[in-house]
Amino acid sequence: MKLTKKIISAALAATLMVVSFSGCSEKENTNVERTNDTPDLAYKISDKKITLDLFYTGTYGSAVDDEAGRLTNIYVKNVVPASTTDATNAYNVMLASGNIPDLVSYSITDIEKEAFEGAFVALDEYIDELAPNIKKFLDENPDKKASITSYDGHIYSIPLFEAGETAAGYYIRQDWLDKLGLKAPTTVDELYTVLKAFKEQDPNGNGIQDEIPFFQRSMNLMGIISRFDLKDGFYVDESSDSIVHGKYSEKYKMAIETISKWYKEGLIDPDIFTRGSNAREELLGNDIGGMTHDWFASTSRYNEQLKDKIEGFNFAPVAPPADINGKVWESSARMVGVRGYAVSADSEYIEEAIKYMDFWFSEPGLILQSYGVEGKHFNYVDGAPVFTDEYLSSTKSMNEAWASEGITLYRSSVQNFDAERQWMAPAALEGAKLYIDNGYCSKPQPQLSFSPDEKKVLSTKWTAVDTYMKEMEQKWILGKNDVVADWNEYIETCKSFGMEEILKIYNDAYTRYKEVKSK
Amino acid sequence: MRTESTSVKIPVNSKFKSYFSALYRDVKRDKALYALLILPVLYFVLFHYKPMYGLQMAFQDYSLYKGIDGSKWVGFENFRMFFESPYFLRTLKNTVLISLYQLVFAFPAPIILAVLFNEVIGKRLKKAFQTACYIPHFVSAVIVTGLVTRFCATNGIVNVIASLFGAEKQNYLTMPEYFRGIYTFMTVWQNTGFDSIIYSAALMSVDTSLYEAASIDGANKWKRMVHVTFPSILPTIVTMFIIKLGNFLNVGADNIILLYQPVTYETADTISTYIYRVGLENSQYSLAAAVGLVNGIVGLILVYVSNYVSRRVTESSLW
Repeated sequence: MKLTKKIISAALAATLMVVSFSGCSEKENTNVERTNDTPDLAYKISDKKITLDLFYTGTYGSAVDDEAGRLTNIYVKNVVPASTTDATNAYNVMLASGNIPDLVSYSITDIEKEAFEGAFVALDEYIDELAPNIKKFLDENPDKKASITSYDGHIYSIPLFEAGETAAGYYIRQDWLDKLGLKAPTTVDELYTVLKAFKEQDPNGNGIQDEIPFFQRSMNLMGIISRFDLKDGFYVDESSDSIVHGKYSEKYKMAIETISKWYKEGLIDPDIFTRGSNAREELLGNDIGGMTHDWFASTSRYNEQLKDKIEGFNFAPVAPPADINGKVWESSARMVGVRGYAVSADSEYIEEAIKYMDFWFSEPGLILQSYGVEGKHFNYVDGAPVFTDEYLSSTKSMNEAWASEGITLYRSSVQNFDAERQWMAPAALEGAKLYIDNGYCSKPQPQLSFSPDEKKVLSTKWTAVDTYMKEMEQKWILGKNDVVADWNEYIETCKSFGMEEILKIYNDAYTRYKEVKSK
Repeated sequence: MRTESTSVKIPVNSKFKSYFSALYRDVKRDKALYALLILPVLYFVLFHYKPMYGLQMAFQDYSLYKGIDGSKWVGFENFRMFFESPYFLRTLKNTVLISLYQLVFAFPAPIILAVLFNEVIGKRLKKAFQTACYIPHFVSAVIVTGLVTRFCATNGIVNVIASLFGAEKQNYLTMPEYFRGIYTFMTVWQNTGFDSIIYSAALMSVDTSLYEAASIDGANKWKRMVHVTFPSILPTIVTMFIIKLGNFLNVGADNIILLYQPVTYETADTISTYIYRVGLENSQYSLAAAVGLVNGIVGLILVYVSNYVSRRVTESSLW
């Protein structure tokens, strides 16, 4: 029996060691000296040096946080091992261990769920007193404040607020248009003419009609559907100021009717639903893809990549074709902010942590967040921060280069689009400018918060409706069913699966959002 | 053990008492053997019985932060949610059908393959064939489904060959009527070789004198296969079959998720893939635990019944 006990305890100890990796509270570690940091403490938060435990998944570099520590005397130490690849898993283990680090950077909606159970501090109770910069920012941006306020009126997490208006845009083979003597489409009818010409007039000149006029990597064809005055998913309909769903309206019927006709005529990628995320490499690389709707930064790369392979290749950003009402606009939009810091309710340093979050909203904090350390990552040129050439010439992608130095991590802060602009390829910049200068971009949709009970209804009922909607959409587009014949049954089925109840939950949440916003 | 048997003060019947005293003698005599038993018992206790404690989350509104002890009890709410889903019957039907396809096509394939290997005469040739057949098992599911997707695309190899015979080009993965076939074919391709190992092992232990005797009696190759080979590996087949039945409702969700599309949901959407999508919205551990419990109970019943039937009919069974 003694032996058994020993084995059990040994096994338990081994298990615990594995499980409790996130539970380390190495606050004593503060006396690890860095050689080249002379404390500056210009923005001192605490007299004694404090190290906060941080939960941060994904690429994490400490250069920026160390600089912040030098200024504020509050350092952070990421307790998530760099080898962690599964963020959800790491977060779940952290929660289950019951040992929550002082600062947690995670998705706002997930944080909220545990916050209702008391795991995280309600930040709004401290902001007035301790965080003047955050308070100022939220007062100036009531829509953003409303987006991060939970259904119970509290704020549990402050995200990295996204900046920049552009998200996705339309791209077309300008060289094909030139060859066929066409202009970029400005209406839905012209879009049809152009796609038809791409299909039939052999713009790639190989003698076969193998062109695929329109494709979309995301498989949902929103590039075309939105031209019928619709947006993706749940969104605010401005005329009625209420939440509607794009696939639950007469306009959607019209859109699908048109798309299924185009699909039959071969204007849309026949493998649209199975091609997956490599659609651009595949179709552009084989010189058969004509037009798409995708993100600026990544889609602009192909001109550079394919210029040697395909003569005259020019995949150019164009203005969105006007929708059926004649309005020119782009349907995609950035989010308000999805991930940032929350403070553990068990933390010994709640006030310091909130002051530290506030630092990232102050002038030096914002510069540090977006540009990094002066002299190392950027220098001031004519009073404006400009990334150094060595840093810009990094072989890593923008996001990797930034994250590995700690720039633009998901802290509680505000993104600066100018920093992103300095990294963008000229073609991407050109596209972004086209969309921004002409005001095509949509505003971010409000982020809504639901009570646990509402969430439960949504997760079961919405899965059923969503399954049905997606299934029918593909059947209609692929011509297996007819949208006009099915339409009444479609609406009835959505209703019987609880669509009206789901919309009511969304609109209740939107009403709460509006109340917070107007306060 | 000793303390237990002696500390019992209440009168016990002699059968009970003699059992423990016999056990005590036994343990004392075979100390080393019982010591060997400790690790496996520990393994089962720690990794199979202790997790059962977590099954209670099927009856709770489980919260990771509060843990099992702090979460709210909701009775059969999670089961009700599962059975009342509008797609419950469809996902159940798809699960059962895909499992049946597996039993009909994927189960016999490795047996046939192992018997075929057994007939290969050259030892080197046999080894080479076997190794070649094992390899697909070690290819990641993502790659296999990627290949299948490519092959089934409108310009994929399947269409190229079909069009030679005048068929119209179409994407087979968007056609619900083909999904189960494609999925079954894929799993057969991937797992047949590897699954044949156990049958090959069983075939090795068949007494060669049986074959000699049969051929002296004038049995040809086919007769030997039917009357010697098959009965010799029947216990293995029965065992494997019962184990497979135990997993009847657990079809491989990950492969299906990689392969299906909304348009093929009507034949491809199984219980596990549907629950996966429900869970995505909002980590629904309780619902998943409830569904797992239902699957487990169905599996247990199937195993029990099939074992009983097998014992009666073939005289070989798991227990």
